[in-house]
Amino acid sequence: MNKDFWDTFKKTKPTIVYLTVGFPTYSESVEIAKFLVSNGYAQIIEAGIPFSDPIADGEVIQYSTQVALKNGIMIDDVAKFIEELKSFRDIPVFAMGYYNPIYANLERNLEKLKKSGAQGLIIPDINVEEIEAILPLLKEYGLLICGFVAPNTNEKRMKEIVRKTTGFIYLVSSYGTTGMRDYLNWESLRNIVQKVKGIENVPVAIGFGIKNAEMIRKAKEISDGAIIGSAVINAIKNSPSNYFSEIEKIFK
Amino acid sequence: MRKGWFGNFGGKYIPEVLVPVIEELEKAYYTIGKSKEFRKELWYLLKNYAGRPTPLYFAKNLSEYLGGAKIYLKREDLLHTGAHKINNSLGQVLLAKKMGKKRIIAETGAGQHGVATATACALLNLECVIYMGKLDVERQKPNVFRMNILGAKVVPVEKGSCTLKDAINEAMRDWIENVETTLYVIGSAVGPHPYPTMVKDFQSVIGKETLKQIMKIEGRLPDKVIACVGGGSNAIGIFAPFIKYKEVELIGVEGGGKSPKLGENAATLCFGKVGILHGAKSYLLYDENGQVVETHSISAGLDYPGVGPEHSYLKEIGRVRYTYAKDEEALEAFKLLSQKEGIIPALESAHAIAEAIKLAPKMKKDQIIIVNLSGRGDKDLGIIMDYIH
Repeated sequence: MNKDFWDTFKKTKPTIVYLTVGFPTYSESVEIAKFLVSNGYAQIIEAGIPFSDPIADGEVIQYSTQVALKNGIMIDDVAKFIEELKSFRDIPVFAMGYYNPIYANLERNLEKLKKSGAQGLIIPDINVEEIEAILPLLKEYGLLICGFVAPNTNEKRMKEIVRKTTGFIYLVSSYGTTGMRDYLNWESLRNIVQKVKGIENVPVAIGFGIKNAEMIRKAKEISDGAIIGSAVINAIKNSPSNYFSEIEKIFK
Repeated sequence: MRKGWFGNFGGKYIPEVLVPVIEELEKAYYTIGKSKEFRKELWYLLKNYAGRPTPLYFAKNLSEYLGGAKIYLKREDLLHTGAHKINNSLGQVLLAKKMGKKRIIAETGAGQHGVATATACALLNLECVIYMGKLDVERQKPNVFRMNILGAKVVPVEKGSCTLKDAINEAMRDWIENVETTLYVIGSAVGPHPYPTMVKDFQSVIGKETLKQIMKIEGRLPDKVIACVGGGSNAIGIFAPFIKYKEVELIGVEGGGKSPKLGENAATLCFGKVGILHGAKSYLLYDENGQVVETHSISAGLDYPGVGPEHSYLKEIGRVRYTYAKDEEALEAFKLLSQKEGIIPALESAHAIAEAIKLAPKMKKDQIIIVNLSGRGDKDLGIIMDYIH
C-alpha cells in the first residue's frame, strides 16, 4: 500500500510543514494549512496533536501545544482538521503526536484518523518494539508509520527501524529538542541518509532545526524532503495579525 | 519476561536520540554496576558515608497506643541527607563517574532526591544540575538552599503544573540536548529501562536489611510491610526481598490528596489507567483525551501522575495491595508519630504511617507490621505551619 506513496515522495521531494492543530485557534490553523498548500510552500502537512508533556519539543512548539490545549483541542479536532484540509487539496497529511493521547483510545483514534483521510502517524516517543506491536492494527486501518533515525542511531538499530517504517524516515538533524538552529552538519547527515538508503530505498526527510528556504534546499539536496515546524509556529506566535506575510518570508 | 518489561509494563518509550545513551547506561549497569568491585565501593560509601545499615526500630509507644499489632519502623530517615534517596543517588552517580560522565542532571519533587544527588556529586566531584518545579521550589525552600550550598545549580521549572512531572520533562529535554556528556540520574523507580530495575536494585538494600533484622529480632517474617508510593522507589526497595514470601502482605500507600476526583489526588494505581509517560508504560492519571492531569498531594514527593512500571505489574498480579491516605490522614499520622515516638516523619512517609494506624488496632498483639520510614520531616515544617494556620 505504501509503494505509490514512496515513489511519489521521492519524486516530489516535499517540504513537510508541521502545524499544531488549534494554534493560534482551530480555524486559523486550518487557514494557515490551506495557505501553505495553495502557495506551494508545503506538499505534506503534519497535523500536530497537542500533549500535556511534550518532552522532545523546544520552547516554541511547547508554547503552541499549550495554547491548543487551552483551546480544547482533542484528537477529534485533529481528524476534523485533516478532513477539511483533504477536501481543500488532496495532499498527504500525517497526524503527529506523542503516544499517550493516541494510545488512550487506540482503535477508536486510528479509525477516526483513517476516516479523516490521514496518510499515517508520526510518534516521537514510540519505540521499535511497540511499533511492531501495533503494525497489524495500523495495517488494518491503512495508516502508515514513520520511523525516527537520530545522528547517534547505530546501524543495527537503523535496520530495525527501516524494516518497520511504512511511511518515511524522519531523520533528526542533531541533538536537542525541536527548534530553529543556525547550523546543521550536512556532511554527516548526508552519510546517515546514505546508510539508511543502503538498507532500503525508503524516503528520508530531515527535520529539527530547519528554519529557512536555504536550509530546506540543502536538506532536499541530500535527502528526499525537508521538515519545518518551529520556524512557522514562531512566525505565527510573533505576528498574530500578519503571520501570512511572515510565513512567506521563511519559504522565499 | 521480556528484558526491561514487568509483564505488560515498562519498556523504553523515548525519542530515538536517547536510545543509544540509554543502551550505554544499560550496558554499564550490567557490567560495571554488577561487578564485585563496584559493589564493594558502593557499600563502603553506604556504610561509612551514608550511615547504613539503618535500624529497625520497634515503635513501642505507638503500638501500645493503637492497641494491636507491633509496629516496626525501618529508619531510612536516619540516613545522611535524611531519606532513602541517597541509596540510589550514590549508586547512580558512582556509576556515572565510572562511565566517564562529567555532568549529572536530576529532577526532584520534595527536594530529597535533588539533595541526595547534589551530595553524591559534591563527594564524587561531578557537575550537577537539578530541575525542580517552581511550585516545589516554593514549598521546599530549605532543600533548594541545601542543594545550592552543595554546589548544585537548581533550575526552577515554570511549565505545566510546575511540579515533579514538569521537572522530569525539562530534565529529559536537557538530556536530549546533552546526551554526549550528561547522565540523567532518575530518583524513582520510573522512566525507561534500565532505570526501574536499577533503582530497585540500589534501593533493595532497605528490604534486605529489614528481612535480616526482623528475623533476628522476632525470629519470623512480618505480617505486613507498608510503604508510601509516589514513583515507588522506597516501596519497591523494601518490598523486593519479601515478594517471594506470599504470607507477607505488602501494602503501597499513595497520595490520596483531597478526594478521589481526578486532579485532586496523586493515587495513580488506585484511580489511574494504563498509559505512557516518561519512557514507560505504566498506570497513569490522565483524562478522556489522553492528557496527563495535574495531581494534588500535600506531599511534594508523592505529587506525581505516574508510577514505576513494576508497581503496575505487582498490582496486576495481585501481589501488592495499593491504597491511599488523604492529606488530612497523613497530617494526623505526622502528628501522632511525632508525639508518641519523638520521630518527625517526612509527609511522604506519614502516608504509610497512616495506613499502619488504620490496620494495627484490628490486628492481634503478636502480629507484626513493618513501615518504611523513608525520610524525616524537617523539610516539611513550613508546609505544616501553613496548614495549621
